[in-house]
Amino acid sequence: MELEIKNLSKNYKRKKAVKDVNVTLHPGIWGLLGANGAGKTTLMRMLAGILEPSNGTVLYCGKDIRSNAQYRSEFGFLPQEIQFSKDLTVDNYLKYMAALKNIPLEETQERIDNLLQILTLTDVRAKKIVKLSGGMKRRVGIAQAMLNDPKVLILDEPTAGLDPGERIRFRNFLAQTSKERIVVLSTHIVSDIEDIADHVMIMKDGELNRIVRAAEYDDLEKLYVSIFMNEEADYEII
Amino acid sequence: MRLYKQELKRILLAKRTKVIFIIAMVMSVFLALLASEFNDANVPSEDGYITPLHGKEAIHFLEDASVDGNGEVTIESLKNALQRYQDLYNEYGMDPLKPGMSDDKFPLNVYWEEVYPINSLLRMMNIAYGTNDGQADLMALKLSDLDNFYGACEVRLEDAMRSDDLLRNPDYISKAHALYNNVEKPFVISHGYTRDAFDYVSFTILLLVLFSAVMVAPVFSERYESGEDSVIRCTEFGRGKLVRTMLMAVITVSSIMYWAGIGTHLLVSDMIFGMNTLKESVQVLYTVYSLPALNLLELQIVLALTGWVCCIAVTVMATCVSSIMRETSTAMVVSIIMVFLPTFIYMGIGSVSWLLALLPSAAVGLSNNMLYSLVDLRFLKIGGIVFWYPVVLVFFDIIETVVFGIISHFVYIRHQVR
Repeated sequence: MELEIKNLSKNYKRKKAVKDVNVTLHPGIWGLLGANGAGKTTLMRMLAGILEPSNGTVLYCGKDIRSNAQYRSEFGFLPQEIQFSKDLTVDNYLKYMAALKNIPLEETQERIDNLLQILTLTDVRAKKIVKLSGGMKRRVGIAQAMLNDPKVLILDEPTAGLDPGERIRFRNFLAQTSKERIVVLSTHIVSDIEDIADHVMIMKDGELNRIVRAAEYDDLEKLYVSIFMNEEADYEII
Repeated sequence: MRLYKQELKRILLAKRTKVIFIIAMVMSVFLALLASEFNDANVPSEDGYITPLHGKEAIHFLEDASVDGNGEVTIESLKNALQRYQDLYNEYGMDPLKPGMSDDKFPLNVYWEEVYPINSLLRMMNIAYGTNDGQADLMALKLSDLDNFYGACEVRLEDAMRSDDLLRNPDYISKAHALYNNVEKPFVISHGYTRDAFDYVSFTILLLVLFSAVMVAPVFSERYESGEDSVIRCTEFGRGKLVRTMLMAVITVSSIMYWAGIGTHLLVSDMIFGMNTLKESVQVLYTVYSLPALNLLELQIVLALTGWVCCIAVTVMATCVSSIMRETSTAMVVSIIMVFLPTFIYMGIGSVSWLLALLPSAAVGLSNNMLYSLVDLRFLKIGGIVFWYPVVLVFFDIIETVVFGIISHFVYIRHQVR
């Protein structure tokens, strides 16, 4: 199982948001680090198949994701910003998403119960999502992304809005459940990924500036800062 | 089916849907009650004054006053009516159809007893033997003239068409004759139900169609606006299957609302006027040369069914607009404009056209609605083939439902997030 990104670019009228990205992702956690406006969200959207690239392709198991039904059935996505229907409870929303994800009816309730427990949302399952705190809403978003036990999980700034305790719990949850899947997690906060990511992709001005094995670096923050300060950093691209 | 149920649940749980449902039901009942308020009758009291009756009181009075006049419009009943009219005219020396309390008016009490029961028959004679410029002189009419009353109605139909620049085309006239031949004769009088009440049926249909458009307009645009679409679109059924399911769900919800609304309206209206009154022929209530081969109950059913077809077309059109627009407010405004566009166009050009018929809401409106398309003489022609306008409206609504459904499908699956 691999997700192959080939010559991926996205041009807007006056801006090249993503420039010629090439990388092949294997199972494990891939951190995507970059400042605001670096092109992370645009890249994530193209990986999710909801934004047409100007150039290049994304292949899942060798097949273009745009015409790959398997990809959508094995895919989970949490966008950077998501608002939920005003009238749905947590439970109703997840049941609706389960129907969209074609999760067998007999498995749906068990999966929802399990995720709600892991994400400590059981007590609020009957509440309308709009009435939940920002952190809880974020966890509902994570729950929907994980609902179909995806082989490819794209999380755009998943920890935004979570308190420190929730961040830690989320990191642990992700570390435990990501062995057999490709997880791409974008953030501009180094500490979100430094302990859990297997690889870190650093993005700057739409380009993948560095791809490194996280375990090989004691100080990821230093690398990140040096890239953004335009300092020469003596690291290899893997 | 599971996704359909979920989508249905999602739409029905929305606060907007609940509010629109409640408004639709309240308006349906209110308009039915309002229609009854337009009935008036001035009844002379024993002290020489007039007692004005309104609403249900007037309906009951008029129903009682006309009960002797109900039944089939036979040549015999027409002759009896004309004879009675002429006798009364000669006896009182004034027109029995101009009653009042002053000395120069026909006595009101005699009018209610003698003239009102035959009023519908006299009105039909007035039209059938009248001209394009005015009504017939009933005093000049001979009883023998009435032997061919139904033939005179058909002649009057042709005269009416020949006097109209837009209708004098021989193809239109022969089409009208063909339709008129299907009208059941003799006509049936069952006095009570009014034109105003039918206008309110049409207005209720317009409102229900408008409510459907407003209810449905945000279905996709709301998701684009909130970013929820990004999540839904990534799922296994989040594209083609979702849009097909969504179309089924919105059609179901708007149909439920439509039938609940129009069903309630007709039920209340028919209870007020009485079910018996619906046996009357359309030609009695409107003009003797109206083309629908229907009685009033059948006319109600046809209006309700064609309104439903229109409601589905408008619902799918609003869904299509929603799949195109990224903002909910824009989708709503465009959908509302689309509902009223045929009314504006009809008011502008004053006649029917292919352009007008092509709009999904062409069968609803103020003067361009299905009711007037049925009872007035409206035709369209393409090449050598003439079409009755009401049929064209229904045909295009069915076509547009399919076309807008297909457009919604392609627009939605190709939608790109910003």
